[in-house]
Amino acid sequence: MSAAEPMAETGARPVLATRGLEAFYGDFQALFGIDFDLAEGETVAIIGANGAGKTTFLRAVCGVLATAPGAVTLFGEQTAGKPAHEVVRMGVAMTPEGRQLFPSLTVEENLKMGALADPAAASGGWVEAARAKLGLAQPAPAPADTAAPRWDLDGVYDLFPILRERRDHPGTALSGGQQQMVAIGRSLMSNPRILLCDEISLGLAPTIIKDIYAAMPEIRARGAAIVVVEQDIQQALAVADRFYCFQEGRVSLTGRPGEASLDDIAAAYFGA
Amino acid sequence: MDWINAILQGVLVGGLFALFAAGLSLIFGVMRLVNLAHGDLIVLGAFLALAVVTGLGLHPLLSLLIVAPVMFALGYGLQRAILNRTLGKDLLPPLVVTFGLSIIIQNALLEVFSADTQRLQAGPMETASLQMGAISIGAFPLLTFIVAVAVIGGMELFMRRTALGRVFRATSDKAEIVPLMGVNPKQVFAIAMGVSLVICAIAGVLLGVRTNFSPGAGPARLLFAFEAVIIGGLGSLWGTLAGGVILGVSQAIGAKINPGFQILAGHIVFLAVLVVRPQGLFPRTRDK
Ligand SMILES: Nc1ncnc2c1ncn2[C@@H]1O[C@H](COP(=O)(O)OP(=O)(O)OP(=O)(O)O)[C@@H](O)[C@H]1O
Ligand SMILES: [Mg+2]
Repeated sequence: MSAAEPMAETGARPVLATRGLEAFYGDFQALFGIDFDLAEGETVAIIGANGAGKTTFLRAVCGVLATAPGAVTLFGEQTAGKPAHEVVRMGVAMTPEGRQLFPSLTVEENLKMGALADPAAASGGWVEAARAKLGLAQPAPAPADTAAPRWDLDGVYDLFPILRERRDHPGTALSGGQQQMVAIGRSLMSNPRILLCDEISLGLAPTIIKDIYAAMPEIRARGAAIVVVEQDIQQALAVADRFYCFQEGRVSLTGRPGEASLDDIAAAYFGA
Repeated sequence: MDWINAILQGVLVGGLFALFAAGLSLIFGVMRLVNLAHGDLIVLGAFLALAVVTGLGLHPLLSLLIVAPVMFALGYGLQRAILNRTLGKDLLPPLVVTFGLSIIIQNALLEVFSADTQRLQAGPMETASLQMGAISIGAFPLLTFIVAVAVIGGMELFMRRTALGRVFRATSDKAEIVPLMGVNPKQVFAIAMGVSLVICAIAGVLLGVRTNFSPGAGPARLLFAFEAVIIGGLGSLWGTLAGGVILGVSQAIGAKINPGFQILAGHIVFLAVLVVRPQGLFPRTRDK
């Protein structure tokens, strides 16, 4: 399928495109020419076995790993040469593998850290954002064309009510599922236009996974396009408009969940 | 009474040791950098104050109005221009570079100020004392201690209550995740180094009023700072204050037994703590 096709169908603008994306750890090449598209408001799943390069892909997209000119385009702008903290402020939020909460910060403080990357509040850099949070400066007004309500502490607490109860606990004193909620909430606090979720169901009980995925419609409704990385194929295909299957640093299959047969997916996943 | 007096002096000088230690511990906490030039930066603060005092005729304490911002800028620039490049998985490069920096500062001070010992003249407050029965407390040592408590209390509030303090703690936890929050960790490191050098400036001025200093005085301050940090436990500011006080009291008791024992007594207590409680007496407790 052609990379531009899904956008042609929905007419939505692309928010993320990669072309021939390669990524390296020193001499080791982890990604070999990934072509990937994400349209505004879309949810796309990336599936693939251990070591397929899913996390590496997300890292390259948000600038943690260096990329070649033209390889990653976000909101029509190339990101090559930009450090991660600048890419993130363009409106991308990452919920990293393993949650990566700040252990010395409370739940609420962890959430507030996420707000520092808000493109609206951080237009003058994070110092201004910090000043804004302190009430020392006026935050930039939200763009007028955003109809959906913006994410803030109350919004996140309404999405995950248990976090409101636990707001003053250290982030890492919570259960795994609750920690994952903090990690997602922290990402939402920046009001991202793209949310990247890396294995948010890993190690969690099925009922908890259901609770967490139940938040997805609301996140989408507020205007974020979502990339979910999962090893659990069923979970990923259930929420996604489209999927990409990675194998050893390459896209081995892409399509819509209903269209590909399970045999095709299994072959693309494990390598036939 | 002699003993009580000696111990009291030890407590008060402990505040100064805690100030030496606070900046060192802040930098280690935020960026895992062991700044071997820390003692020399304190002495640099004292010499900058000397230059301002002789040049403008200001009182040493007022000279901080100039010296503190200068030191902040110096720390910020130093971090951005040099130290940020040394940070990575390997702990050795920052050690080597800050060791080199220590030698450069000492030689620069020798060049500019000569090897003479200097003193910051603070006027009558140097000799004033409060008399309570047989106990006499020097006004200046008391002021030093109050300043130390205020600086450490202020830092603690800053870390707990402000957005920037929160960023410092987050960076200390996971510097590699902080960019995902839209924050440039190198900028955080630079601000932290600036803050550390402001504390160095305050400590340097208090040191310079209290005793003679010379360009080579830095390494001994670094050693006291290390000892206070390790005794108190890494990452806890009040622990650092306690560490400084314990070190000060140990030295005072040592000196009382035999003047030659002063420094040695501090080292012995430091070693004892290291053996019995390697994590220090009051290591950071994460949950409040
Ligand atoms: N920091 C690193 N240094 C060197 N090699 C790495 C590093 N991180 C990942 N790799 C390698 O890059 C390849 C892709 O890893 P990546 O973490 O992107 O896979 P993944 O699809 O996310 O796997 P998983 O499902 O286990 O999370 C693997 O071969 C891995 O060993
Ligand atoms: Mg992964």
